[in-house]
Amino acid sequence: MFIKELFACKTANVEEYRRLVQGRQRLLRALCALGVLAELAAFFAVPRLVAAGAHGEFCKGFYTGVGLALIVCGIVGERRLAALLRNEEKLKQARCRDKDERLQEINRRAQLAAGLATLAVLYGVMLAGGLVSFELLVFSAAVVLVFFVSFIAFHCYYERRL
Amino acid sequence: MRTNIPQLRKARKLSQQELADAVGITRQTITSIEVGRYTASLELAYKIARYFGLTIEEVFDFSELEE
Repeated sequence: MFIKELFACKTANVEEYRRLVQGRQRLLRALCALGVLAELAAFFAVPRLVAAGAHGEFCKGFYTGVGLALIVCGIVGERRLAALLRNEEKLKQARCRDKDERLQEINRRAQLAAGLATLAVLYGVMLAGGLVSFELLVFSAAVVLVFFVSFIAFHCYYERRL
Repeated sequence: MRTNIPQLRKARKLSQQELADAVGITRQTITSIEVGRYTASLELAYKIARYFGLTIEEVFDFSELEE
């Protein structure tokens, strides 16, 4: 419900949209906190839990990179939204862009295409990667299965809603 | 879908941005509707028609759908 409200496109007025943007700001702060957790994991958990060597160094670098990316994205996004909240005219323009039905349709189609492309890549990895790694085969098959099960579940949900 | 929006705008000396602001969408969406690249939803079609003080059929050409 909380996430649904954060990404709701229809707001009755600018004040309602302002509250929506404030909710998004909180989400970005949470993203920063997740980044900090990833950094802590990189410096304290990874050296203890992952074996040393090339694999351990890669894991440490991966966690550090992801954590840093989350922190930077969170801070930049939060600052941008704060600037938006200070400028009434820009807030109105942002609301206009958010509720623009053509932009929503573009997002919907892009998400659909990206989802299908991801599925196609995973299917390829499952077939080709399965020949060399059993774990890869199981992981790819599990993700493809999760996609189809969640698709059927959401399809049933929206069939009742619309 | 063809529309009479460009003619209606010109008759009222209205820019795309002014129309977009009036109905609460972006200028790019007005452009797309005018050139027939995007078909407006019923809600948006109603808003545009109401803005011009006309019916939806007077603003949008539905002849392609009837064929």
